[in-house]
Amino acid sequence: MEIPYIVNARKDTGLNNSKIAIWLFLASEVMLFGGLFSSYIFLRIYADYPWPERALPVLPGLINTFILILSSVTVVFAWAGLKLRKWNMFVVNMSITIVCAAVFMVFKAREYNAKFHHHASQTEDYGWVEGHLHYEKEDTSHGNFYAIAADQVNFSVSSTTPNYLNAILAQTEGKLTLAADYKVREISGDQFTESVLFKKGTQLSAEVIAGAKAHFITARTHNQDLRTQLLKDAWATVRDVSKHPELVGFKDFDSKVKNAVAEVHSALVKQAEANNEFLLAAGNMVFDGNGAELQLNSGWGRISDAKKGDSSNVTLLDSTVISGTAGDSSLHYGYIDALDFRHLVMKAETKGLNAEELIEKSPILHLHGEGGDKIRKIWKTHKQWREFLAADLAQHDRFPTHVDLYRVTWHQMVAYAALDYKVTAENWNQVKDDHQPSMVYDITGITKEHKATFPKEVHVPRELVRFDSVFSPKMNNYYAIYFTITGLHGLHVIGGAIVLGYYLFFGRKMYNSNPEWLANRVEVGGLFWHFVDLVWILVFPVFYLM
Amino acid sequence: MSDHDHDDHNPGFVQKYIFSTDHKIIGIQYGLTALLFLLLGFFLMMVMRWSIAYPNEPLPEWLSWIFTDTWKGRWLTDGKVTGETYNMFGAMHGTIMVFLGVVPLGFGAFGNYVTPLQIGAPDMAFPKLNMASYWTYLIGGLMMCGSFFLESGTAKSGWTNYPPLSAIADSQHPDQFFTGQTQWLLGLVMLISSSLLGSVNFITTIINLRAKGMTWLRMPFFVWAMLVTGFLLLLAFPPLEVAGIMQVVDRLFGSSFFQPSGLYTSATGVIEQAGGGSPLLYQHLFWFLGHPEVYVLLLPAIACVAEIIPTNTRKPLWGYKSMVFAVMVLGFLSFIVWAHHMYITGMSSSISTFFQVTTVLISIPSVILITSMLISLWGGSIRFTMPMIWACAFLPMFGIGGLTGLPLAFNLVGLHLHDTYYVIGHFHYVVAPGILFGLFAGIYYWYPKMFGRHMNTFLGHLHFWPSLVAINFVFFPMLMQGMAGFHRRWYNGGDAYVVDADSANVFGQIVRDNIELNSVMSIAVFVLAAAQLPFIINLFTAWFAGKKVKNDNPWDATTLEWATPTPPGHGNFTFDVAVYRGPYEYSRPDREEDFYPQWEEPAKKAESSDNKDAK
Repeated sequence: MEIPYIVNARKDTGLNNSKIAIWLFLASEVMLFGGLFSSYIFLRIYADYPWPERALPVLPGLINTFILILSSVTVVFAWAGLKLRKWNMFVVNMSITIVCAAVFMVFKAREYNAKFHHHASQTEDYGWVEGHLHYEKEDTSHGNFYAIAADQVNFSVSSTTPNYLNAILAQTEGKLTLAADYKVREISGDQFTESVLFKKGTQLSAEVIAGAKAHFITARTHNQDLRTQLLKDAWATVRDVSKHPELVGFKDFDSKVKNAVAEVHSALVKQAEANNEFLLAAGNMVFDGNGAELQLNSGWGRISDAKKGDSSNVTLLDSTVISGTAGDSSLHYGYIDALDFRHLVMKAETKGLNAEELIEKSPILHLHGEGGDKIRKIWKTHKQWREFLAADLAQHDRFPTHVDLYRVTWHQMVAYAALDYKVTAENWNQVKDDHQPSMVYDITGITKEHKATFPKEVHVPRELVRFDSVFSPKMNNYYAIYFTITGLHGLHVIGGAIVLGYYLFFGRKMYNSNPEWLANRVEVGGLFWHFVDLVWILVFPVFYLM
Repeated sequence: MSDHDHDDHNPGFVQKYIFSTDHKIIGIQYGLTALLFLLLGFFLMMVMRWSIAYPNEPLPEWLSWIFTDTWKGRWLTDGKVTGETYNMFGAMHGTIMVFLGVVPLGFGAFGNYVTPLQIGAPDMAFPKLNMASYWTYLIGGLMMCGSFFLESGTAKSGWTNYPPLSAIADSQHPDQFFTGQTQWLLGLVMLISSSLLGSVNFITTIINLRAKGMTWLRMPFFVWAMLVTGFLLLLAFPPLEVAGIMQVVDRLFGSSFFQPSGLYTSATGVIEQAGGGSPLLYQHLFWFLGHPEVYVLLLPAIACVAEIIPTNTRKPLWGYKSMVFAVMVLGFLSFIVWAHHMYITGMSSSISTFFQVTTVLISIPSVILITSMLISLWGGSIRFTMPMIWACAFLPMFGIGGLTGLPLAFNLVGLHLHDTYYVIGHFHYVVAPGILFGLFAGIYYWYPKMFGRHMNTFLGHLHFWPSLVAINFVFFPMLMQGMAGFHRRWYNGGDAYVVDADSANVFGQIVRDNIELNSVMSIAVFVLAAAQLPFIINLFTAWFAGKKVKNDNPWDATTLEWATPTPPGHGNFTFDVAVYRGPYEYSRPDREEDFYPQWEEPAKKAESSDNKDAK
């Protein structure tokens, strides 16, 4: 059997199979990215926070655009090479295409990496600081943790998660001891026996939790089974005319019947309890903390009160509850590289409050230490600068934007330091009114000299922080849709490069036997590659420039 | 496909029946898998129906035997179905029935098996993609159902998976990847990939692999329906894939695409998320798929019935051309009606007017399809074969389903009936006694071609009549309850609202008046389940014990699949296929026999009139 029209076109349609298929596939892809870009529009229109504009490195994005355009050209030359039966032309051009794809992905990876290491905190008043937390590589809490001196740790044995438990075990070094005897009632044969499974004072270990869990699940299973049986008995009793003649004529859903069933059932359950027919194994194990100090990844749960010295609870996602005294959970910024009050201003404006006053009251401007002083100094300088900017713009009937007024970028921090924090009518325009730093920095990165001008060692107390995140999808929906679209686009680049690479490295055999077929395949792959390029040409202006 | 020397090899069992690239084997794989999933979906629903009708009684042994004691200890309270468990079962019932049952049965099984045969092709255009499509579907389905065994349980936010509820569900689990909600989303992405591979393959096959002389308007209606279904899958599914991916990003990477600012739950207080997202966006993306999906479910069933009716009335399909154009219009319109699922979101009157108009418009092509098939019965010499009986039942049952949908097209009525049992009754009439009856018809019709044996007629009747009666007792009371205001998500069937006969609570009294229908429906469901046993027995025993077919064309049909050997071998046709006429040439007065197959070469005399289109 042979499928027709694999290589040659069918006469009446003028197409071979794979040509039809790739156009159909691309139609589907258009719907996919169409859905994503529609979502972008939807999210941007309904955003109730300042939508980040031009927040991405433009130069690498621009370079990537040209790299992809170049690769789209070379993929056509590669196809032409096959059509002309010039193998070397194919090899050279296809290689360039794949190298382009690799370079594109390297730029992309650098861009992602920078975002994943850049942190921001939103204070209760919607002010933002951005910067870098300092943490060691092996620190799984990424320098962003809840500190608590534990008085008591309560595990829910059936859901305790190994990596949380291991973190607690590693940090407490045997300090946690069982607060009370963990008793069980088991069944062996027909005999119910009660015993103490773990004595009071037993050290916490994975085995203790696992042992309790096994008993708990056995007990839950047995007890539910028994209660089910008793409920069935209760219904049989209630519906037995000789025992409950007064319920004849009442429906199952009448409250009289339901109450009667509930009554009989609870009586039966009580009786079974009195006969010790239920197994016993508590679902929770409480350990004395003995003041063990714990630092737990803030992504693992919530803290009820993070203010140092207050009594507090940390509730982890697996229902482990640690109660004790809060330690220092503040976010330790190595340095701060941006201040942003736009969100605050936006909220204030919708509520008709005085934004400038609120900014002055913001906790960001009242942080302690040298870093806090630097922040105040920078903000003061910024206020001077924006006066001059506003006056200058007014001459051209223009006025400063919210970005001008309420956001201080790292670039401005550097510039203010160069002016020794004194802005005058003469020197104010040395601070660029274009808040995008020179595009060259997108490639070279920030230097040590720059960093010297940033507020350093800033501690933002956790209780003042409303929300914090690295610049990942979690940050806000701009970054979420940015990572989703560029991530999917990146996967398309990788997928396309793998297919084209397959033709390059394993195409020789087919070239020898059926070069036209290989040419068709490369043509189809090239169509896909053009589509990937086209998507990027939409992504670049939408995310990098708008 | 790449190596020519594979042509005359003898593949081993695994390659022939498991990792097969033959469209017929893949079709049968799809069919059996889909039937198993349908059985599972049906079972979940029986448990739900027990909870609805007898919310205060433990599950009986004959329903609960399948669960382990540990599972019951975790998910049942005193043997009763809990709200959470009900939600899991409800979400999975819908998902399984729609995505894992009906679509794979209609499009995957019948589409795969019949389409290439009917257009005279040796196989699908891309056999390996076809195999990949099946396996992706199976993996996606298993991922979804596997989450029954996870600590979190399965997805529990309805088959529509609306955020923010679906975003909060399972969010307390430390390992977000292994939660039912996440597995559901990932499984969905797999299913969408599967249907993408399938639809590309179908459309390419139909465009490019038609046999000589198989012009567009000589294609059986079945093929047309598959072509349109293919386009619906191709273009409507990607937006749902977008929604799925975005929800996965929400779950795994903490974004808040679909969570508004300040989202509050009693368990956690204000959710620690950026917020600023829109639940409405999800609904738009979902229903942009959701509505075309209805036609993805429906068209294969209509396609089966449209083949069975001409064969068994011995007259041409009435209005073949109008049906073809109607199905194309239907396909197009199905893309612009989606917001009628969302009237209750408070859209502006101009938007809702648009969607009301398009929704009413789409009933026109639907009515053309059904009316044409109805008129096709007129004056025919009907053979009440097993498939024909099912097909005949399809018409009125689907009619009820369609007509009960008309009021829902209007905003005003929609607001009242939204999320009530009326809606459930409406779309179940479309899907269960409508679509599934159509597909049962298809199974009885093509079974002889697939296995060379007829299914047993007695067992068939034993399957059909109780099913027909019971299924109406299941779904008609739903319409009544829905108009009384019964909500679709009441896990205890209104037990929380019902009052005693002497109470002054008006709504409670309305519930009281209608709540007894719950046990009527539930008993009908259990009867319906019993009625499927003859079918299951029939399906497997006929495989080796059924009456052997006398020839390759046991129904005296005209379309090309009956020109193949029984069952068709690899490559399908044993002769050079050419098509000389339209698909439904029955009872031509110039012919002695009452059917004139598409492939039969015309006698020399008639050549001038018949043969000129054949290329």
